[in-house]
Amino acid sequence: MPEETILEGFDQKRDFRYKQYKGKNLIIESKENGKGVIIQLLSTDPNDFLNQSFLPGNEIIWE
Amino acid sequence: MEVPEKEPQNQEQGQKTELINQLGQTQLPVAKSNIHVITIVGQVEGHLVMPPQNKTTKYEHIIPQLVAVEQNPEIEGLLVILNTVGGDVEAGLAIAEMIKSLSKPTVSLVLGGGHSIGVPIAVSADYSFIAHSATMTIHPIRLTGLVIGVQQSFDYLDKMQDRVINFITANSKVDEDTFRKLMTTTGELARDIGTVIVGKEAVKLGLIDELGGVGDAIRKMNALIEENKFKSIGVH
Repeated sequence: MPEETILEGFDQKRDFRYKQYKGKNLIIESKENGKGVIIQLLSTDPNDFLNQSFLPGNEIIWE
Repeated sequence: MEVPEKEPQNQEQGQKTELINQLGQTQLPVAKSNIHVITIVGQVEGHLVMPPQNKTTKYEHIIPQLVAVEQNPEIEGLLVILNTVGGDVEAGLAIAEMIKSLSKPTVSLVLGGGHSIGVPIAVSADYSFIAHSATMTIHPIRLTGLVIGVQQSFDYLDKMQDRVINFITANSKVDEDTFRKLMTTTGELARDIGTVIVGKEAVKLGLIDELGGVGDAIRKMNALIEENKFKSIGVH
């Protein structure tokens, strides 16, 4: 595999933020226009992870 | 910057209908779980913040969660799932001490790897499981970064190592001599001293209680919860 493929986007700074969304703590990656992509749900309740709205990769509006 | 404003409830309802219409998905019914889960993944992050490329478990996230688990009467047990490469010794020990001192039953499960400071976290639970293919690396602790090269630094490192060893030997069936030997073995790790132990070996050494997976862990957890209930109403 070429090195460029492996290291693609490695130099880009990713903007991770901690946000409360529907009463749960999330780590989101901030995008334009107040949107964010869910990276991780911070919860100890296993049922929260079955909730579709907290699935990693989902886009949410946080602003 | 324009953000579409909707009533939160309408928005939620809209999302549900959209899911059914477009993807044929329905929301799962909300069930309450009496067991809560904490996952220790990637590096255990302590006093230093890692660059964002690193996957980390931050102790400032874990510790309040553990307090909430202890305090919430609806939670009856805690499952700790580990797949960690290790990390900050003091943060790891802090998490391990917190898990150990919970009054509720705790079960840990090592999947993939529970290396380095993952070992005390794994043994801190009331009962521990390891997957057949999971591994644990035992090695002496070390400092990175600028270190003042004086005798006191070495003494401090030695004391820190003793804290880790004491915690592990007090919370598992492995004895100190065996553990120290594993820690200082040469020829097992490519550029370090120490030992890698795989599932079955960890059980044989007494470090982990049993081989198993998530099913076994939940079964054991339910048994411990039942035991705990009897204890609290005074039936012996």
